[in-house]
Amino acid sequence: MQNWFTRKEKYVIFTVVLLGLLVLVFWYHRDQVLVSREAAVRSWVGIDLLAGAVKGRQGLIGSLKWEPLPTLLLLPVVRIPGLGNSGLGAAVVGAVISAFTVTLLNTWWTRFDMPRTVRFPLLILYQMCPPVLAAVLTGSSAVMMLLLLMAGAYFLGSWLRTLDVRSLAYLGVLGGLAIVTLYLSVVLVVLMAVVIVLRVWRVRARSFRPATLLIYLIPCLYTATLWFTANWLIMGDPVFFLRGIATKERFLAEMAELELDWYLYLMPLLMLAAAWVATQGRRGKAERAAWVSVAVLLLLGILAAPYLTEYVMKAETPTYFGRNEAQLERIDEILTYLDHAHPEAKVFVCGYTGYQFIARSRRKERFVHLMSVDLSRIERETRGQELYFLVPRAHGVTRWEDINLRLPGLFDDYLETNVQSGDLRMDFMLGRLGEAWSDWHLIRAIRKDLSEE
Amino acid sequence: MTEHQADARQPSARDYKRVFFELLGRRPHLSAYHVLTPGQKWTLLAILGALAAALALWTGGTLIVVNALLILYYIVLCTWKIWLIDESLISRREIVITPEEVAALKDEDCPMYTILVPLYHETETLAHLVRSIAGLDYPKDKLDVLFLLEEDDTDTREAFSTLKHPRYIRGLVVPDMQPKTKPKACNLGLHVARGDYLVIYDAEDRPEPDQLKKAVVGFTRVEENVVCIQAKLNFYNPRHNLLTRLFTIEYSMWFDLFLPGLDYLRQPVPLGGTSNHFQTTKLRELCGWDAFNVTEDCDLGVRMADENYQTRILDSTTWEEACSRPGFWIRQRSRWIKGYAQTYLVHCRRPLRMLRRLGFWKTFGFHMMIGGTPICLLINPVYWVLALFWVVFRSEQIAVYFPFPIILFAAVSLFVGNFVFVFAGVLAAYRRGYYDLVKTALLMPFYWVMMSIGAWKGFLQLITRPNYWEKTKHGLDKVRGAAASAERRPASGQGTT
Repeated sequence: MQNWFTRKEKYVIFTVVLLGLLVLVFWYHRDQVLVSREAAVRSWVGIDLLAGAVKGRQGLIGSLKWEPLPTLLLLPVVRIPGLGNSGLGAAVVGAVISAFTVTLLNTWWTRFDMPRTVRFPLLILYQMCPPVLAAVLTGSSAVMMLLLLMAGAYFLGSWLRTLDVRSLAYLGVLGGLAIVTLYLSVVLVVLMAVVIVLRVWRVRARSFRPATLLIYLIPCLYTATLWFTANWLIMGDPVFFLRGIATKERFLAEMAELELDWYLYLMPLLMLAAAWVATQGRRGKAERAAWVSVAVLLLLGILAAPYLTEYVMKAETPTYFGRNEAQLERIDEILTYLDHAHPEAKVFVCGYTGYQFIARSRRKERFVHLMSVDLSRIERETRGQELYFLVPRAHGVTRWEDINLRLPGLFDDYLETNVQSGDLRMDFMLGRLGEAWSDWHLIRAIRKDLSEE
Repeated sequence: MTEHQADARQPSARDYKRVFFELLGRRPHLSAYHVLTPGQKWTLLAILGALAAALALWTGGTLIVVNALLILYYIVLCTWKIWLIDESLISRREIVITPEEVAALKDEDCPMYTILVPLYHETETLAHLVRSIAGLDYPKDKLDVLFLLEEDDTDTREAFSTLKHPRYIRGLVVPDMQPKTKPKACNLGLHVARGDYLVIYDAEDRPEPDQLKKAVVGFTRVEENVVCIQAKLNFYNPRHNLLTRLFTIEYSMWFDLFLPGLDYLRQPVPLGGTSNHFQTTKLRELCGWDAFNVTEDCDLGVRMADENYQTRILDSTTWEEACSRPGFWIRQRSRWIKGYAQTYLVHCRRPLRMLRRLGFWKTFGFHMMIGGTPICLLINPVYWVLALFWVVFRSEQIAVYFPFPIILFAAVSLFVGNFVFVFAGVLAAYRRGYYDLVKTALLMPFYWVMMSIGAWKGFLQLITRPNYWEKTKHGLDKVRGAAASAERRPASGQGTT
């Protein structure tokens, strides 16, 4: 039995963690789905992708704003009823990814001869760590990033010790994947390149240093080049995806929207330091055990910090859970208003954030999502119906909403109210109703032909 | 003993055919004498007929289905190769013999070893070859070296007869008879071989001096069903020109990544053309090589797996000459691809039998490695052209055959697949210690174009001249070859694990 468990340990751990997380996910969302905006948007981008709704070359990736990898990972679940259109699928995929991370950590810590009695509680402590668990439950792509970072730390540690080509290759591939999981990772990739150069600086073998750096950089450069090319092919601008962070204000707005939790990204680095400590004992069993004990204490400290802020220092620090709730409440308020005030109206929701309305709504059929405001299509499909447009206000990162938009003016606070389309004129009225509408415009479209009658 | 002195076991004239074509005589279904059996012909015709009918009735849909199947095949093949590469990097199942173990092998414990060297128009490399064999660290009284000389190759025969060579080297004349292939000559060598073990070297080969001893120690260490140990092959002239650089990278990928991966997963190993060390009795049981197969080594590897025998990889390298001229290179490649196609067709004659004997995973591996190699090389150009047209001309006529989600899988196949194979070249060069070739590996896509040209040439030849042996020209890099020992060694350094 013991041997069987040792051989199958990683599969057992993966399965147990996955099942546990799935139970937690479905329990957390038992009354209503509370996933993040990111999860809702990515799920619907995935749904549109599978439905072939995204035309042209953009149909390969769906979105340039949202890094492609986390969205692509959602594709297998977005068609599943109840998972895809609510965004809950993102939390389910997050559970799978997190189970991988825990399995990886177990493999990593096994290398330090850490006994199971220490390892398993640490793994539970990691998985239940508030920022980690919150990322899983809300379907954040941070879970994927965390896996990449943990794996990166694991392979970096291994490579620094042995200089083996496999670890280096994986490090490069992980760097490449990180770029398409979070654009900001490019900074990390550069930092890692510096670490690699420093490590091989003294190796004098001919061409060894450039070759080593190349092995690491090739996957990263390849991914970056692919992404530049995709931007060029789709938007005619290779750095289109960077335009949003061209100014300080936009960069800060982008960061705010990402809701990056820095401690989450710092954790792998701290764990790498703990791993380094664990390998310091070289002179005998007792010394090795002592160093591993220090590493365990360090790990305890690393993992305990978020518990402290979440459960002890409640007043001083924001909670990791329920960060989306205020935003979700505002959306629910708008949805309730629409259901009561305009129960029969067709509502066009725009931009990526518009997806969140469909994900939250119980009457999904009344919403039409538009990335591109195609007036002739609207005229064609809605003759004789009451029409509303729900559009995000132009602040922060809304420049993304301009993708393929023919009417960027719709997002302007001072929009022109007359829009000409073919023989018809459509007059738009701006509506503002209370706090919930601070981020949104509700625009009623009146057909010129109808208004004249 | 000279070439004119007949060995006791040399067959009489009437027995030559039996010796040459033993496999055809005893197991005709495993010989490439016929490219296709009647059953295969009818099956192929039925498939082509059905495809033509489907294209006529439902052109768009058929093309989409065919496209989807091919893309799926690409993805599975790519995943398989990633697995092989990872296994080869993660573990060293290859047989590693330390210098101490080699030194511990006493001369009296060394078994008789036969070395077969098939020669055809090799006058230029003969002297080098004799020196190279003389340099082997093996008791000479336990060596039985057979130079297999073709009857119609008077130049090489004369050169050999005038060459001063040690007594343990014998010449054996192979009667002029069709097909003129290397395996046919090797079968004669096998018939007269006196060694307990047998190895084949090509004319230009420079095996590492302790390779025979390593193989002997290796055989004592492996499981009973291991009947062949394959040494690694690489080139002594990797930096001669761009072609040899890329060829070296490809060889490093094959012998340092893919074959060790196959070894680790206990898959059928397509043997390399030379430096395969056999247990002679087992090889005879297997009826030697198929004289009609132009990659007889690959075929033998599959037949061994079919008999539940194993091939293992030895951590010792034989240095060969990389073909440095595109024309000769394409000829050589066309033969290899033709041979792989022959082997694939031969072993697909009884697919259920193969599945029963090899089991699912080995059969799967066979389809990936033996079938996948020619199929991909033949299809690649079609997809390159389609991708180029799609990007440059934004052609909707192409996009229509890539509806979602096929386009997504095609994109994965294009972007991930191509990356994996380029990166594999990079890793192989690095692992071999050819650090300066790492950047050259980025040019592999250009090399793939040449591979596809060779593949198409081989495929067409499979129809027109299936048993024709495209001879590889050796000695093109004589000057460099002389200085080979200095160049062939990879850069020493860390990180080559």
